[in-house]
Amino acid sequence: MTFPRSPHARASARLIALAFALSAVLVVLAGPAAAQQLPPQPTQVSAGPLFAVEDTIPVPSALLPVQIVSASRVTLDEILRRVAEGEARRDSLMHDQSFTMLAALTYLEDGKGGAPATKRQWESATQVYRKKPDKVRTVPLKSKSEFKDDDGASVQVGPGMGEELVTFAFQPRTRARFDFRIGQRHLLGDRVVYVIDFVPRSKLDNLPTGRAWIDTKEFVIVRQEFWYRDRSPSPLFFKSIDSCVIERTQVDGRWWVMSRVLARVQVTSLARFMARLGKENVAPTVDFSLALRDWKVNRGLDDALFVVEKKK
Amino acid sequence: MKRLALVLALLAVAGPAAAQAPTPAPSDSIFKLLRALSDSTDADFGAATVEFDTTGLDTLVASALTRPATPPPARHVRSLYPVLNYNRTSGAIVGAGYHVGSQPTGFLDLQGSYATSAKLGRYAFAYRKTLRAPAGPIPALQAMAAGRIGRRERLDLELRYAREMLPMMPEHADPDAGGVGTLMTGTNAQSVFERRGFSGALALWKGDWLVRAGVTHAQEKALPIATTYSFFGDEADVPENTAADADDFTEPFAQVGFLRRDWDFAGIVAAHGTGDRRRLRGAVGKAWRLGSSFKLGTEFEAGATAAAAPRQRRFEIGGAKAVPSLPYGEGGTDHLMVAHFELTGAQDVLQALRFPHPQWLVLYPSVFMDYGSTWDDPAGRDVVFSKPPGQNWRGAAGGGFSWRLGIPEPDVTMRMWMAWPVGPRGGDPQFNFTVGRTFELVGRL
Repeated sequence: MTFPRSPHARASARLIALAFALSAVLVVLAGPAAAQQLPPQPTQVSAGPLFAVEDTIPVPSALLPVQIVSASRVTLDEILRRVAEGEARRDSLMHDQSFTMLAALTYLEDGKGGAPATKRQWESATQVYRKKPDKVRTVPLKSKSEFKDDDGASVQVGPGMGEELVTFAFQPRTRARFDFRIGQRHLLGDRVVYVIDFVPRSKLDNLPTGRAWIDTKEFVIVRQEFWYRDRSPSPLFFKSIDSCVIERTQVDGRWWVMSRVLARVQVTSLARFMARLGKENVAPTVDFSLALRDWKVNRGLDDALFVVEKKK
Repeated sequence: MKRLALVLALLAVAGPAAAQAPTPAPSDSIFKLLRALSDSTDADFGAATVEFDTTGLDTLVASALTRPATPPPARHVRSLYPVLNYNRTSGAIVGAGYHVGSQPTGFLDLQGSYATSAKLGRYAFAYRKTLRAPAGPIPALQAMAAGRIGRRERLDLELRYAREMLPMMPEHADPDAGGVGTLMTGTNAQSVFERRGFSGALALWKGDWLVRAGVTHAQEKALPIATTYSFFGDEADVPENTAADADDFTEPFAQVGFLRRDWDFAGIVAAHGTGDRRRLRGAVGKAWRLGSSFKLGTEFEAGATAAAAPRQRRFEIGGAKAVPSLPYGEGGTDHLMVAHFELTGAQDVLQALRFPHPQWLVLYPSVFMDYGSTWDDPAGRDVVFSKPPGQNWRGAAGGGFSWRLGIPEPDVTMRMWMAWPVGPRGGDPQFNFTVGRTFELVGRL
């Protein structure tokens, strides 16, 4: 059974329930003859009548005829369960991957006239090959750094095919720590994309608030945004994480893979002071960007590709 | 009349729309939606952030596999840091430490210091090497420290040779062994002893578990008081340093820890030594969410040691992490039991009071209650389970602020609490200031 969630939906549901109640009263008052004129009742309702209020199409629904349907609608719990399964299935079906990874740190400072002055602090390009269960080969392609220390920044890639940055809120272990809500639905051709909002159940948990777009054709997350705006995951270093956007794209018409990560972080004065002690200047706002492109999945990468040459 | 006209107008508009079957959106609409969202993201972040320098990238990608496969470049860690502390058995301790290494070779931590009043040198050589990390190389900054449950699976070799000052009842001690308090007022009662020796262990972090096992060979001895100096205190108020029993031993030790963050549950059991040095201690912690704005933390700790165990292995109940209205050193028995309850609110106190403060100083209100007992087995038996005498229970309650530091690890929290005794044997009101973890008694896992 699906329960309407939005206030508008609840109000509509109450109207429909009232209409049903009035009809029932009329049926009782009118006797058997009137009952025979009622339209045939749905036959495949498992647990009583189903009141579904379609809120996807923004038209004045009170003016449309009421349709009684017996089809079950996917519930939020069902969506969350299927997303976890869909993501696990996605990970299990991938055997090898290769992609080009571009990463960058950009400093943003207050510039003249209100527009922020930007500076590309660090940028790198890496070709990544990985294969189950534990093989990774990274080939640095190019790098440019304004850090005084060569170890100023780096992005490390593990051998796993899962993308925890996308799925963290939906994993069976972490789901219980969030409250989820259906924020929106998009009907797109033969697909329905649900927008699921999530907030940590406890403000004392070090977890972000966010939103995920879920393609219910395959139950995979196609985009996610999360943020720590009202509190910080690490108050000494970060004032806030204004936004972290993770985008996915489909490869070979089948595999949803991470295509881009963008994050904007506000740095505390304390962290900047400590960086200055290390002779590095850190801007008050730092953008992190990651682009993953030229994805190739399950192309049968040879094990020999991962054999490391010993130094002579 | 106007209302009727409006209804008619709406019917005129809605009628045909309702009558017609909706035109199906093209099957690539999802990509159009994602593209639109992506464009909006581009606009939010700006071109300077989203654009990359791709000059020559295609050529570089094409030739990537022509390069020999080499191990990923090892990130070397080198850091020099000061070693500063103060203790009534040592005076000012001044020295330096040097941390160096990389993941393939392991990490070496060298520390040397001098205790100015005791005129003693102190040193420590610690070596850590990750022997096995099935999920690939561990980032250098993580690899240089012990693993954590929830991070990647790894098996570490841990070696340490040191001549160092260690606190009694180390599970309840502050990281500085009471150094700041001793320097300020001289009244901090945390007792210390000297250990000189070697320990080697293997530590495995796998799934929700930590298992550590190894051997220690060391000599331990008491440290006499070397100075009674403090900034603001009276020399006559400086407490004695509880004397450790001289000991020379080689013994095994083992530790099993468990942590489920989604359950807010953690536990640890640790066993050291055999015979008269046997010591077993366990602690469990569980936090309960009370709505979105409060959390109740509960912890229970119990321990048992041999009846004839050296003083430095016995259990104490005083101090900020146990019953804070009692001083350090209270106890010294072969059994321990402590319960800790802590209720924390999610309100930023300084912000609620509109008190000007830096944004990184977020103080949460908290209240607590501790209750526990230390006792010797009445028959002097070497047993794990022994019934605590009824008259030994002591407690404290109070409140204050918690400040989640988040460094060096996310669950590191500073607590500033005023504690009042509960019951006639609960000690004296105390202000406590301590740095610990979410589950203080369980510790780092």
